[in-house]
Amino acid sequence: MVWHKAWHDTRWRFATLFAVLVALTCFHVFEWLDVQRLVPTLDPSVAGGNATVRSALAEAIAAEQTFRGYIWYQWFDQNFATCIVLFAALLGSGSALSTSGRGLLFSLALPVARGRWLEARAAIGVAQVLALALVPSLLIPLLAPVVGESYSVTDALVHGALLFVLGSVFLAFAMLASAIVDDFGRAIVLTAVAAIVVGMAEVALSRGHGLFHALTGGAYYRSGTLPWPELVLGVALTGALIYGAAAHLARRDF
Amino acid sequence: MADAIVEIADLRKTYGRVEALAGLNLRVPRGAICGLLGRNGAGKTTALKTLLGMVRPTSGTITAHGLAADVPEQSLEIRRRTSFVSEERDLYSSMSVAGIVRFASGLYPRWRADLAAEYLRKLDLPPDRSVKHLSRGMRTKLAWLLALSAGAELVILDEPTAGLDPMATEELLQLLVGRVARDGVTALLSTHQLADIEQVADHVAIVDRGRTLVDAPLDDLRATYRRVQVVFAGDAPQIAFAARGVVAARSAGRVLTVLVRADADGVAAEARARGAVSVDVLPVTLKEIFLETVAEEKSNGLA
Repeated sequence: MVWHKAWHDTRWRFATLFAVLVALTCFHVFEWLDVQRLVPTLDPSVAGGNATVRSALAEAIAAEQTFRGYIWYQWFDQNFATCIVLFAALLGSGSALSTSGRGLLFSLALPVARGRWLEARAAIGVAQVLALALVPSLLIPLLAPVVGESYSVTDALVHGALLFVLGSVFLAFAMLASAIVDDFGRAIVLTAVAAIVVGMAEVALSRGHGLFHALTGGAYYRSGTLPWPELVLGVALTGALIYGAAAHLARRDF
Repeated sequence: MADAIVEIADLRKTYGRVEALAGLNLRVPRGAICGLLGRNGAGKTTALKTLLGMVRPTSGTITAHGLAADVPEQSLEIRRRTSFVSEERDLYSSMSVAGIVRFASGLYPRWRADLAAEYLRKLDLPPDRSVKHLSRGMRTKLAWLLALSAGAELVILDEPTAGLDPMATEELLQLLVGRVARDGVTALLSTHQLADIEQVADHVAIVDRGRTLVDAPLDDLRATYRRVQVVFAGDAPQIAFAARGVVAARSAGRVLTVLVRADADGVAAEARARGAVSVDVLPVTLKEIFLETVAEEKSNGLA
């Protein structure tokens, strides 16, 4: 029953986000036909004297010479990574005890431990983030032949799995924020702020390292290596944040 | 003395500098309908929430079914054997009536499906309608249905008839009385509706400022409390009564009204000795007991 509630509370949110991701994946695959025509005409010198922009543009042009590079650069590294963080925050926000902000006292009076509500919500949330990360990724090898290309199922699985770990971290952060503030909107804002801070800190402090950098799969795309330290860190962070949410919920007064 | 299903001793709860419960004591006899009365902010809801493990006490003891409410594992067992109707009738708005009944039935080990079906019919609740589309009255009925069908030994109701029309109030109170009489369930009602308490309760507790002022069977209260109405020839004098149990004394012109908890005859005799021209010893309503007890506490607090 507790599992049923966790699913019931988030099913429409999940279905909507899933549909958006599937649509965006299809869009990106079919967009390749235009990108193929456009990329050869691009020149990094249009960036003028700004070396950073010129270098980024050169990297983008270089990556997008192939379908594999285009999918990594445009989809996994940029749009999908942003979407999975935002969508995981949407799935994790809102009290695990209430439904659309109602029923908090009803839940608390039921013979269910507070930790169990959170456990069920976390498990359902992680499963949903897994589906959001893997299913659209696996669509790419399926759709690639339609645009005259091929894409490895292994690449799709690896990129999907990396983004699943990234999404799980922010799902867990949103759950912790929700355990503290209850309110759906404030939890989303807190999680978005956390994601922006982490992203900016990575750019400013640890060039070439950090969760975003590693889990968007740049190293795997370039050299086939997996970012094990960041994967372990991501899983540990997810666990720690969910544990923190459960501990906070257990000792809170309502 | 009857076995108690709820026992609260010297319960305190503070939120920063605010003392919501300031040494509350309460004993709810098993099988009774106990009315918990008090002004807004008296600490009633905090006490009920503490009993259900929603709020952790600062100090004191609170047990239900012999289990400590502030120990998480024991609190879980308390909630298996206790059902609750919150003041907000706070139910899952996105579920249907039948859906939330099915949901609750899977969580209570002694769920009474027969009663749920019976109440669904009696209370005229539409099974397929979403909770968010129910009127407040219908939501209240649904909350009662869930609480009375849970197979709980203790039913806690916070402002259970607020916002209901008299017909619906009567209908629900009769369901409660029936459940208590038939199955030996204990009910704890926190309410401002003194008439409801007078109608169904057999035990009453009055709380104010987080403390218990009265905790006694309603029949005992009716038997021990008396209003002594004294009329003097001139203006009523201020009398410091020596008799026991004077709760409050108020004079208006020639009339002195005294609420007495114990020795009404002693008060009457003292009044006559002070030259009263007429003395009447009258029974009192629960409303009078409540108002005078709380007013006395308030004036003591201000003094």
